[in-house]
Amino acid sequence: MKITFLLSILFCLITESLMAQQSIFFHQIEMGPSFGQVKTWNDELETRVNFSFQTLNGVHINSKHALGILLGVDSYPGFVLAPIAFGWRGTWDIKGRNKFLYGMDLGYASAFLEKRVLDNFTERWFEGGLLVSPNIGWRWKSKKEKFDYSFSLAFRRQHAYFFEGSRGEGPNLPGLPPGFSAIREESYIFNSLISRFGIFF
Amino acid sequence: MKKPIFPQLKWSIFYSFVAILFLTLPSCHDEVKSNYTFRAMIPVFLDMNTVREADILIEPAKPLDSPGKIYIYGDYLFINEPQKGIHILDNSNPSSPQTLNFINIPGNVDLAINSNFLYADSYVDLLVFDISNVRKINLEERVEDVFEHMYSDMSRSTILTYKDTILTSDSEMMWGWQGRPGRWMTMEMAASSDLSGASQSYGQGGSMARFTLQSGHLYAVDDYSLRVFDVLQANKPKHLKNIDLGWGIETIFPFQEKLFIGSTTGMFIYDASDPSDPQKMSMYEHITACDPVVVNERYAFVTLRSGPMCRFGVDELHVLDIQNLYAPKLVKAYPMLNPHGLSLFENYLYLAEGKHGLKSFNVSDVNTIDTNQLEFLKSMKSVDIIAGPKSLIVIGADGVCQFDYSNPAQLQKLSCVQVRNPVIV
Repeated sequence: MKITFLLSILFCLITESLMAQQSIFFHQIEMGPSFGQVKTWNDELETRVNFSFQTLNGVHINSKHALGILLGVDSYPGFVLAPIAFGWRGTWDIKGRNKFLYGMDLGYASAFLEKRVLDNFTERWFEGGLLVSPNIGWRWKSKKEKFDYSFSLAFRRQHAYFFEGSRGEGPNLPGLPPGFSAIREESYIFNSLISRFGIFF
Repeated sequence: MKKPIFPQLKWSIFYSFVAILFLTLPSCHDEVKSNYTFRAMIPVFLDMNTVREADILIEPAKPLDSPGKIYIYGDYLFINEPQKGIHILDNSNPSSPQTLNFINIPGNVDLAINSNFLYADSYVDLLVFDISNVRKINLEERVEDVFEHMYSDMSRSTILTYKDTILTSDSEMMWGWQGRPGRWMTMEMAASSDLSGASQSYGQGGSMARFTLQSGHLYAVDDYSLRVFDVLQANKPKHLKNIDLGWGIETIFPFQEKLFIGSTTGMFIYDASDPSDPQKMSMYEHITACDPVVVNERYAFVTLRSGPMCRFGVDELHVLDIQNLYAPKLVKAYPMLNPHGLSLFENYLYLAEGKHGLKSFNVSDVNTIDTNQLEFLKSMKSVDIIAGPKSLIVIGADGVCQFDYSNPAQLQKLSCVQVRNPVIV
């Protein structure tokens, strides 16, 4: 909740300060809920609802296409990843102030926001992984024509890892990292559907 | 004016995409693979008759894999390879120890040497080797069934031992997905006796030994008892008796006809003035922790440490006044980082601080040990120390290392025997 609140404030501040600017550069800020399905211990699927925030900053390479660098924050059950990716956005004029929006994000999400927890006996840490995220949406100009709004739906395939090790003594054995007597590795591929509201400026 | 149909087409494409997303994505759930890899002691049943029939081979020198206990005898180092045997090294030049040969002894964990006779356990038996010529070692005697606690069925000569093994288990469940992944129940079945006895104990003469010799008798501790052997006739050990000590027995240290026995709950003092019949004098109790002990005429130095096998412990050095052996008194407790083995030479105490390094102290005034720290070698991760006649032997992450300690305030590294799987600290 704290992250959501802070990001909302950040969203408002950036929007307000950059609203009036127009250049070959483009900026997109988006946020919204993400949905996925997690298999439980009895093989049933439960829906998870998380949060996604991202900014895409780049340049228009022509009137319909733009490329940029994406930075963001995505929450997942129990942890948060920070995507760093290349983003491509295309638009397709429809009529009036409306445009069909499509794009692709490709990169890596880092787990640097998660602390490595270390005590005398255990060590727990997360690692990020690759992300691929095609998206489609709708972009429309605001009445003031200073910036555009967007609504998009994205599929995001995100790799991530969680490790929990039990510290151990004695000689090292092949198959375990040095210093551990047990380790649990969870590898995740999160398949999320993200609906985002955003602005272009 | 005729309306263009193209925008309508675009909108239909958009709506189609949205519909496809909503229809297909719900079937696309998160993929989770959970892989749990853990070290376990797998029970292995052996027929002791088969073990005895196999030849005890003296093999050429081979690299050290995972050293256990170390014993200094004359110019030689005897280094146990837990459950496998004993390496013999020529240490006449501590700057360059040379491996000579390897005695293949299945089930060996402990050793001691008395008048050119090496005592080594082999599961339930005690073996005696004549090592008067280390290049031509002979098995002199096998005393059978003296460590009978390992028998699972004595009538069938079946013993129970444990094999250090890596196991894995897989699942597709995300642990505690509604919050931070929960901690799992540790499934290690590691028998503390095997780990503390084999992997963490490093030698006669050191503070973590389980075999010791005094007054013509061999004393051996296991998890809960003290075994007494008459070795006045060095090549013919006679098993005299077992003395029940309780549980959690870890180390034994002899000093002036006394036996100081470290357990996870305290330190026992036994009077061994009648070496064949040690009598309990007192016990100094402390909270559960792993604790080797060394002593001089007036004081006992006990390290207490926390660790995977002693999880409720504290990390402290306790100094006990033992002038009245029937009532040892705590003089002072010093906080430490993670003390393991220790060694005392004259007024100098060398203390292995596990992954934190190696410390040396002047302990001539036991009330100011903390202010009399001489050195703290943080790079020397260590678990046990033996102050030998030629060198200070340190067992740790770098293998078996030797230091010149003629200047106690400044250790000089002489050599390190590399091992394939160094102890993890």
